[in-house]
Amino acid sequence: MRRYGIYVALLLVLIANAVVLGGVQYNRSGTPEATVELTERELHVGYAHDENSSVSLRLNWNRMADRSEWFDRKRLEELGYDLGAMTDADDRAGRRYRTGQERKAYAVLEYDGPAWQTWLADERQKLAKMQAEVESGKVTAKTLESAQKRLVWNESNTSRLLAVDVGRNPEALRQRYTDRSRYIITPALVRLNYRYPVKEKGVVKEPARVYGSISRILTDSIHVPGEMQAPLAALQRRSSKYRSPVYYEGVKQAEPQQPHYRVTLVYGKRFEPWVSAVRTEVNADQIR
Amino acid sequence: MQADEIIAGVSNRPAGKAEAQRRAEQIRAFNSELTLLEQDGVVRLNDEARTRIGAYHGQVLESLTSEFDIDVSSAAKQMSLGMRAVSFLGALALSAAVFFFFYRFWGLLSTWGQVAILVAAPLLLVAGAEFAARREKTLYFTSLISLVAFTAFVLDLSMLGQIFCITPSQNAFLVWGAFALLLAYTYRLKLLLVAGISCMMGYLAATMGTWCGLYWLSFGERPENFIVAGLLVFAAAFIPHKSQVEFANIYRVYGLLAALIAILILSHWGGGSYLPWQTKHIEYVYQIAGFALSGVAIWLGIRRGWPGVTNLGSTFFVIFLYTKLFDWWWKWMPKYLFFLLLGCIAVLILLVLKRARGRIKEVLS
Repeated sequence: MRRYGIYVALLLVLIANAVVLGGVQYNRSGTPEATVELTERELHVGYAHDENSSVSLRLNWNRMADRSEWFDRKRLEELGYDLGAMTDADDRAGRRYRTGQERKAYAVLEYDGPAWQTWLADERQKLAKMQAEVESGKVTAKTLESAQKRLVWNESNTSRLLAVDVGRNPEALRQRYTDRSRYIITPALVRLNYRYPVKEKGVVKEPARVYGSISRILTDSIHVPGEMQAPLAALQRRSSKYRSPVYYEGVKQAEPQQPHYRVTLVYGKRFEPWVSAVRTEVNADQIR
Repeated sequence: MQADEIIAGVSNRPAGKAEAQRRAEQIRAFNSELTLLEQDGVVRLNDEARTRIGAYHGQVLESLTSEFDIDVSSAAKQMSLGMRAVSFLGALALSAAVFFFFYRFWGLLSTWGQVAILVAAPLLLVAGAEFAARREKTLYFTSLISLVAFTAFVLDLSMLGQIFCITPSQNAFLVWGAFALLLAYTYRLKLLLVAGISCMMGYLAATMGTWCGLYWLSFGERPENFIVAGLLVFAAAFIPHKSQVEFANIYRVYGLLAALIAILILSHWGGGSYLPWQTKHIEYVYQIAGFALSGVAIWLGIRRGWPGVTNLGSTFFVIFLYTKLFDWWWKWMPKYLFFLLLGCIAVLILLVLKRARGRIKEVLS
């Protein structure tokens, strides 16, 4: 056993690595599944850490703009959730799906497309309504000022990457979302949510609702290869001054920033991403 | 007579180091008891018999020492325990060093440089473990290097996952588990066995979770996954372990421990169950199951002579009992009465166990 065991252990290490690297090779072979150029708004660099010399980027999809109206019962059932004869008003759903109901699916992320424009238009409309309310004295001028600053911030700094669909079959999703420079298809975790009915004095004001949500993009941490790390590492090193533009810190914050860099992200046959180029927009020395 | 000839001639030739150690202790106990018997005049060996037994024992101990490097005195045994602890702590520290070293410098390497280091590290360390094993019988250094090799292999696959942004999969646990078990069986290393069983249990629990519709990383949200995995590990103890007899006990105790912990959690958190019943009903079912499994473990442990299983069953029986009593009485009963009742129950359990002990003695006599 002793002699065989050691050879089998060595062979196991080699085979496991060969399978992993073979998978990487397969993912990166042929025509990319998607190639998207994103900015610092959608891919923000982590803070520098003495114990970790590498640089990775975090895929930042806009949850704030995610209304999830499209993620309804029908889609949940398509993803394999067995809702059976359960109605929205039935609180058994809440009990049954209380824990552990995350499932793997494929999410479609749209970059700077109709979903983002619709959300922005809605926000502008809300602001216009608020302006009218200020005139009628329902809302204070300070609240309006705050909302205006927030909108400016959203227009220039918030991520324009929005989840627009989910499905079990990535190929079928690609047939629906054909623009490979705008739509990313990526493995994600989805979950079922149950909202209890809102009642007031025994009268149902808002009925109960079963709906889905994306809890996590599974490949959201993207390693930057050593040869492309320099400009991002320079940003990281200035961590005392550097703030990713995606973090909104309220009305007192300085004016919105321009993104410091652009990154070309490529998705392969296994829907796993890699960085193919990093382009800086602003020198590290110019960072406020 | 050569050492090998003595070992070959010894009845019940030891299968491993643990058994050889037991044999040496048996010889030491025999000599102590013989001295007492002679002092009390119960028996007196003649010089020839004494010399023959002494020479035989001397040769057996010599051959056991040369083949298994056992401890022939209690001082040496204490020293071995200390060395084992140091070996374990050293392995932990070196594993952490390997991990942090890579994190500290990997940003300075090209992608293929990173891959080369990650793949080469476990291979070189396995070769190092084999090199050490050929030069020592105690296997302290082999154990240390093997544990670092296991860490390097875990680091290898997880870092490749990070570098190439690979979607995580539970299959990594299967591969890590197989690697740890291979090293454990090759060098008879209990620590690696525990690491291997842990990985295999993680794989089994995650796989069961995926069969029930969960994403594999959510397997911890449903403790029932661990009941099945724990019982499967317990069942693995029944696979014949010819030369690693002590491994069977680890499978039994570890598997049972996982199953009992999962049942304990479910007996207080019915919401984590797959069962489509009301939470309270699920908790009642698992409270009964906890008492039943603890009881079966005590019975099986006594019947088969597995002290680890008996002790584990007794411990969990008391935990289930005390948590139940806490649920029932803590809020409405004065504290002095609550603790008085606990004390009385402990006395009752002692009386029952004393009676059972008496019966066992009767049977043995």
